[in-house]
Amino acid sequence: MLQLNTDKIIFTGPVGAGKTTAISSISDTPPVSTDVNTSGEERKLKDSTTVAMDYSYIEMDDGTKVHLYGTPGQTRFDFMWKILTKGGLGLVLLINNDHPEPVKQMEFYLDSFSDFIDETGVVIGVTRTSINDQANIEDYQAKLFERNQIFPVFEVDSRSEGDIKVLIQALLAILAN
Amino acid sequence: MHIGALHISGVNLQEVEQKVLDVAVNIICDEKGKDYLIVDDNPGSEILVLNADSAEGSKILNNASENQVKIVFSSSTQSGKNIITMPTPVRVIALKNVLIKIAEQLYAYIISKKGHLKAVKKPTVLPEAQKIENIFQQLLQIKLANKCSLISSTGLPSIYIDGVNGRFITEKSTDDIEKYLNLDFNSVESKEISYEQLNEYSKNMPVAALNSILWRCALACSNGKLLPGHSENTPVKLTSWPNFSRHGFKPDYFKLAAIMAKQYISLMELNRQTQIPFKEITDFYNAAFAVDIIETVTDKSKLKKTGPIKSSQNKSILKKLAQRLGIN
Repeated sequence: MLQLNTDKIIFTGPVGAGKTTAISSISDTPPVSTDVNTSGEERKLKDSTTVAMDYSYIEMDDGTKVHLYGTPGQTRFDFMWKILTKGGLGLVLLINNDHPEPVKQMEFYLDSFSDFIDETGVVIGVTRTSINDQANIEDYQAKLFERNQIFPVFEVDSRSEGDIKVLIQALLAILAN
Repeated sequence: MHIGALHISGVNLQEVEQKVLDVAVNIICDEKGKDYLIVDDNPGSEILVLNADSAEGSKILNNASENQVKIVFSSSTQSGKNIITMPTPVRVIALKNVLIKIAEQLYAYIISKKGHLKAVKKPTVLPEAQKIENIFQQLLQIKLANKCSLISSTGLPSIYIDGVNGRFITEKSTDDIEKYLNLDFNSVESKEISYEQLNEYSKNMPVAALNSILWRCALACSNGKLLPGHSENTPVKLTSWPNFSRHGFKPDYFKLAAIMAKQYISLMELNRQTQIPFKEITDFYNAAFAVDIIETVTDKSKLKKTGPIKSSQNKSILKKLAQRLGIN
């Protein structure tokens, strides 16, 4: 049962932000995904999307595991978010810069996960910055500043192991200090 | 002139530009105090922000007082006394940085003229008499002075610095900066040029964000030496995290950023608490200052603020994960 795994990091963000890919970049095995074909507006973003969760893990040298969960991107599955975050270590929020209003998307997810963030910590990865530069990192930081929040915000390519490790490294630094 | 606060007016701005101005002022006032800048409709305000691309805007600019500071949003460079041109579209963070610099200079001027003792944050420029020792200090000086400059040295590609809009422009590649890092700095010439000259000379050349270059230079040139005029005993705080995924970093910087993002702390105290070598702390601080993410304490009550104390129960698994990913 997924609630029983407490050593877990949650990846969240809107459809097409790269959650499944990011998990694949650092996990030991390809994520188990519950994808279905998209329709309507979502079809413009990607062919299939995660409706329940993605799951994979990283196994430590002593055999223990850190579990990686990706939340469904569509808000109609938001009932899953609370279940997945229960007992989690921290949150990785991925934002698709190609979205018409990416900074608003960030605010939406920060608000939706505010309790979990207050208890743990969050790092924000902005993807697809090379495709669309309508918002830059300073715009995200300015919004955070306006909200009196200081969270790490990095430009990332979710396919890059190095970029996703930077996110994890920042999350670990926040959680440990 | 109202001594307690500077007044700023947006005139002939598009709806989005007015919002950009409002957000930039709100951010500044959150940081410096609610009366630091006051937005009003008075065209005689100390700072006028206008769009000069229309006939109406152009007319307003021509009629504005010479003594007013005019921040002009325009697709072409406007010349004249106390005019700062910002190319459209203008971003919040760029406007915020320009407004802070102008406000600091105006407050310093008011204080010197009126003998006013209101405590305001001093301009954070390098002391003028200080000898520039390396390319990092040179670039930072240009940025803090809001100027444009041409930097050259025999046999090396010239570089152009747009301190107003935070641009680094070079003949070949942004990696050209590497060639300046370890030079005897006496062989480097820096010449102030106008914004028009900069745009004319640097047409079609590669452009990079000046902050990104400053970060790189700070780490390469600081060598554990704090910027002139800065103290290891001053409590400081990060206003945002550095963009580590695109800037160079060392593993210790994550720890420094995590601690400095949640509280005011002096560099000496950081060194004591973390045992991170002072050189690393200084290099990180210089780089963070150069990219405008350092805040010094002005209100001593803030010193008591600290972030939530994290549970240590997860530390073991966090450490193992860091080891496993090779990021500790």
